[in-house]
Amino acid sequence: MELLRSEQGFEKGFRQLMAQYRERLYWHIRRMVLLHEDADDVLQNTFIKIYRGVLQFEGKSKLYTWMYRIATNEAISHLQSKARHASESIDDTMAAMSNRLQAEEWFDGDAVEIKLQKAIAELPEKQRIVFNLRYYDEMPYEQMSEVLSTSAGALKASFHHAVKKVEAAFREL
Amino acid sequence: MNKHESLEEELKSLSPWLQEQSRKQAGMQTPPGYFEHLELAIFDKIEAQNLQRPGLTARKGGMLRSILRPRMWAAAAAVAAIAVACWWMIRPQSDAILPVDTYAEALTDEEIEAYLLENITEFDAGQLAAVSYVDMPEQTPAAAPAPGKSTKTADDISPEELENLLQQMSEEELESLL
Repeated sequence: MELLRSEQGFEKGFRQLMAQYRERLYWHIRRMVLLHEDADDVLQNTFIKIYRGVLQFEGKSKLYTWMYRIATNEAISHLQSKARHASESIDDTMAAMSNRLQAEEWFDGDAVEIKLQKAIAELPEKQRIVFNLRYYDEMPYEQMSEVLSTSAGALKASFHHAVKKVEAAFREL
Repeated sequence: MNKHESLEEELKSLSPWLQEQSRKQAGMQTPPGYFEHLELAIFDKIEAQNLQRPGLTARKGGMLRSILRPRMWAAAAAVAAIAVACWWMIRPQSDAILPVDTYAEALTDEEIEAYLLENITEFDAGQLAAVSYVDMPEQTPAAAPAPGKSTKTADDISPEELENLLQQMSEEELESLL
């Protein structure tokens, strides 16, 4: 942050920030939007928002959770806009995207991974985010609480429900 | 207990099957060299959007910056357009139909008489005949002549008859007439 706040060091600091977080943010976004092309758009927009707002970051939370929050909101906005464009619900959009996963150029998962992604896509939006943050990013509940502005207890309950639903949906597919 | 062990513990009790699954990229990949080129793509986008380096001075002048934003101008234009539309809807209209009284006040008695004489044929004679004293608020039934009674006007009464009438009237009746 010191480098970002210095008159000469902003650009260098921002490049360092990108290098440090680009992969983590990309995978978080990719798991939410599933397709690489969408994830690329959302990630670029996320970093542009970070570029614009990083000097206003007041340090009330960790920089890392603040960036995750921006990425999460950008991904949700992207899904909402995609659903609006197709005149369907986000759940329907997610189902359609999970069906396209097999034909996605940048996906080489096996049948189990495809089924798992379809089962995750069936979760309600918030539970899907909680599941991904916990299961794939292994984010502690306290940090997740900062990202999603929800109590750690509620997030833990949500994750437990999501796990049960994913397993049940996987077995039904 | 670190976060990894904690998740493993959680999954072990919740879903051993999910615990066994590979959580590495779940089959998702990126094009080769994607992350190396990402920085360039983002800076290109920043330049294309003509974003200024967000300096601390710009942050202090946040109000001025927000005023100069195109989005702010678009919102201001929309509000102005709505205000003009509202004024247009409720403005006093010069060509609106005014009440008859307003026109009548602007005309002299001679003009009204001349108009009526010119256009008297437009009135339906039958309709005029049908108008009874009941329809005329200033003419009460009591003031109307009774059937079979004389309907003489003031011009038809001779000076002698008028004098007789005045003598027959009490002072109170005379005062009420005046």
